[in-house]
Amino acid sequence: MTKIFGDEAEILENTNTLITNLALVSAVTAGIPTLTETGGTVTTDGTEQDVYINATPLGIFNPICFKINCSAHTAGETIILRTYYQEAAGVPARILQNETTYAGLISPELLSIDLDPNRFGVSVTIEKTAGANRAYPWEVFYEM
Amino acid sequence: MPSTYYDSLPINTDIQLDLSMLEATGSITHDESKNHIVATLHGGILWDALAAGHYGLNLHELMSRYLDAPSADTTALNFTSGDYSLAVWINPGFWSDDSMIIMGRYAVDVRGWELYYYDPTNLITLRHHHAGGATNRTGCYSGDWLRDGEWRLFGLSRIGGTAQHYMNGQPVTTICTASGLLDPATDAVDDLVIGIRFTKDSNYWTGHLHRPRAWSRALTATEHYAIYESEKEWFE
Repeated sequence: MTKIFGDEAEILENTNTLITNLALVSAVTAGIPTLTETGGTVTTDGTEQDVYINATPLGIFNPICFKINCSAHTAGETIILRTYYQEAAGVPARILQNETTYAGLISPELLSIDLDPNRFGVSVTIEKTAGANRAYPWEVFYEM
Repeated sequence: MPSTYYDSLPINTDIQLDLSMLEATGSITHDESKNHIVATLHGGILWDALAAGHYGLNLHELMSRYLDAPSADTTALNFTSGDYSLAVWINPGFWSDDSMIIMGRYAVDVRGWELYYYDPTNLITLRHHHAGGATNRTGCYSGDWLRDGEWRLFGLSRIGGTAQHYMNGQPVTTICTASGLLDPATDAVDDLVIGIRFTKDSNYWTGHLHRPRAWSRALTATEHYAIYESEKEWFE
């Protein structure tokens, strides 16, 4: 009788090789980051407010950019956008890296802030320091 | 390094809610689905580190802790027709009402759907509400959802008149109303609630909870299993 697939030992060996290869593929694909997005609308209240925050990432991830829609912002109003990063586990908490003040009309109305890779925590905050409080839609992209 | 895209992953097809709970602090948590549903956390400090460093919510009746999101922002979760699916990691605690709401968008005996844990017998039940009272309720339940300190992934796919529950990615015996599940009746006035009754005054979820999700399609058994396999390490 002709053996199409070989004897049992050969089949077992091939199966084990296949399982090993699948495990290797799985290990590689599990590490492929997924580009993800979230967002919402923050309504300012005069205090410094977290807009986007990932306070304790599982590990290294890649925040890419933060976008905020300032269409509702009018002349005579001021906001401050700040980015914070934590560079080690535990205390101290996130440290200010960048602060930008936008006074008066903002043009173009959509602001984009580049973000850096991170392992221990990142946040973007907004603070309204002059004028009426407004609603600011925002979104953030990150790979993790 | 190549990357993939959230919306391109087959598991995320028709996903309508994905509270991944990455914030780990604060009083709001954001949705990674296109709906951008923002859930507000009530009742003080809620965040709790999971075994692998991820964060979940530690809800408790005594602290009146729960989440909600406005009805206007959650109409994608009406599920008044067609199939849908739910998934959420749970670890129920030992202080509770007999019935603890996991999540829902409903008004009892009027409209909507609710998913709840029944403490004395460790059941999880999905219930569809209809105007006209309890006689028109339909639902499905499964058992053995123990309160033993272990995290478990609850999954559910509603498929026409029936439904299948999954525990840790494996199908479990699911008892449905003999006449079949009716579509939940609804209108747009109910907030999404997580960990509390629709009236927001009782039936608190007491225990831990992580990453509630919803899809407007029936996930396959393979997909439920894939979710468990890809996330179980967070809880080990």
